[in-house]
Amino acid sequence: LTAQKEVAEGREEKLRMKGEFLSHVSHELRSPLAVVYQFTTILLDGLGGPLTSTQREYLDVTLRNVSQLKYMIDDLLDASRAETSKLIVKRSAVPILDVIEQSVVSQSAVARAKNISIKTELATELPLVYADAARISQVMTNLLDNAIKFSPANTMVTVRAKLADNDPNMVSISVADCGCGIPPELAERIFDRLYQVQNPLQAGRRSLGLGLYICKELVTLHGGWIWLDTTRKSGSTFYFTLPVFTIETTIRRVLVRDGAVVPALALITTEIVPIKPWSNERERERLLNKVRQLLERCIRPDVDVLLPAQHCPDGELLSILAGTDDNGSRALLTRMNQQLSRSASLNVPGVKWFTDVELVDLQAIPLGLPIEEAVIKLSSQLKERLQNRAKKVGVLR
Amino acid sequence: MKGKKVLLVEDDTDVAHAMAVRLKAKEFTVVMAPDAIAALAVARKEKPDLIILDLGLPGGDGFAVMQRLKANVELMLIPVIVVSARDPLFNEPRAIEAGAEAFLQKPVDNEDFLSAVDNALMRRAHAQR
Repeated sequence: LTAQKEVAEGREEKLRMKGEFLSHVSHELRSPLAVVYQFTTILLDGLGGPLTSTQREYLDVTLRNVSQLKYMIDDLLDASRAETSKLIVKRSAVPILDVIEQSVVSQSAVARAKNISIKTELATELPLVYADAARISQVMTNLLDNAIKFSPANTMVTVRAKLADNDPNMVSISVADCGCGIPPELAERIFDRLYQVQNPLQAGRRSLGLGLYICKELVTLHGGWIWLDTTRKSGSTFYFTLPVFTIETTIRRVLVRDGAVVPALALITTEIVPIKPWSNERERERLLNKVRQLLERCIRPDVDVLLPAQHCPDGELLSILAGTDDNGSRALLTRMNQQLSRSASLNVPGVKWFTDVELVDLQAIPLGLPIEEAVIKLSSQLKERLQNRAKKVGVLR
Repeated sequence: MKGKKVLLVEDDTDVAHAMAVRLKAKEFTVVMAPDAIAALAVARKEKPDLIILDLGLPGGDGFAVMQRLKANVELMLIPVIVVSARDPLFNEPRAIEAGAEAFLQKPVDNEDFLSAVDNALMRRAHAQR
């Protein structure tokens, strides 16, 4: 037994050292890469003098490959984080259709260059998902990039999103291509680290074989599933699922830590009040997204949760549920105020903003109440509290 | 922003050179410091409108520089933008807490870089009014 333990400890130590090494190497690679990127774009922007069209074409090739190298380094770092359980997702309530549409738009130029069109078949309305938007966009980009890479010219890549057939608490997203497909016996192995499917269309194309491995790690960290559909005869279809956002699942995450109810809980709110009504919907959404990004920087992943914005008659309400006591929530409030007061888009005439903390009384939960019942009880309390809080938005103090 | 003075604190001369080209193209005046000690000396002498600060520096890291800037009455109001290859997950909150206006990870997108510079200078102008 001791020997087994020693082997396990030795293995962990090796993993840790490898993780540190990879992290060090990828950071060291970043600096020279940054310089190549900088001077390439300096030339492309004409700051080194006028360019001929051939010079521009060659520099575009350079830039494309520098970007690819940057993605590879990012993947390397993510893969080493995944191995040492340091890959972290910062989850909040996310409108998944927006994330999908943005990824499709950002990949459409690459697709067009290969004469491939990306078609979307998205459910008209989907509930919010509980996810890290940046990480999900990374998964989408990876799947789309693969689909485009393995597709012959003049074909179509199809992206679908709907509620999962067998679980109404999950949203299912798929990316299908018309490529040569993947043999069913490889359906599991393609998610292994460093596994590469030979691509007959692009023999010799370099890739690290980390993309699907990272996708699997990220989706799993979200509590979802990712798989390759082996029932189809042509092309490949990748599916992944993400949990729907509900107050209950969120509260469970914050409330229960290490199998027990946390000692304290705080509700921290940010009100954004326009002095005159928003001139258009886009202005409101742009500002809301900005504030959301700032707040997400302040919270601790999976200990605090940013709830979906509440749209009220006189303004917007953004609430954070934090698994922390009075002191902790004051510190969080200070961080928030620092971030918000530095935002150029928020500190303009015509917009007012306020932040506030209220502690949630956990005394109301009887000692020894099963966790599930505590979650249900607190959820209904909190929903009511959020509704009451929303009514006060815009009542200037 | 024409004529505003920016201090670049960066030990990698190529990185500093690239940022200087970008800033000069926007008609900023650029002064440079290659290490932590020079950073404070140049800041005192040149009184820049903005400081771009790397974290890994010879002679003391960027956080040490920021601490000393914020402790100096003459320099404490100069906005600082941290530009570093380090992981933003831990370093961004730390930089903001130390008083930085923004944290950008290398390689930095040009538009992000220039808009962070503009934002920092605009807020400073706003605060001085």
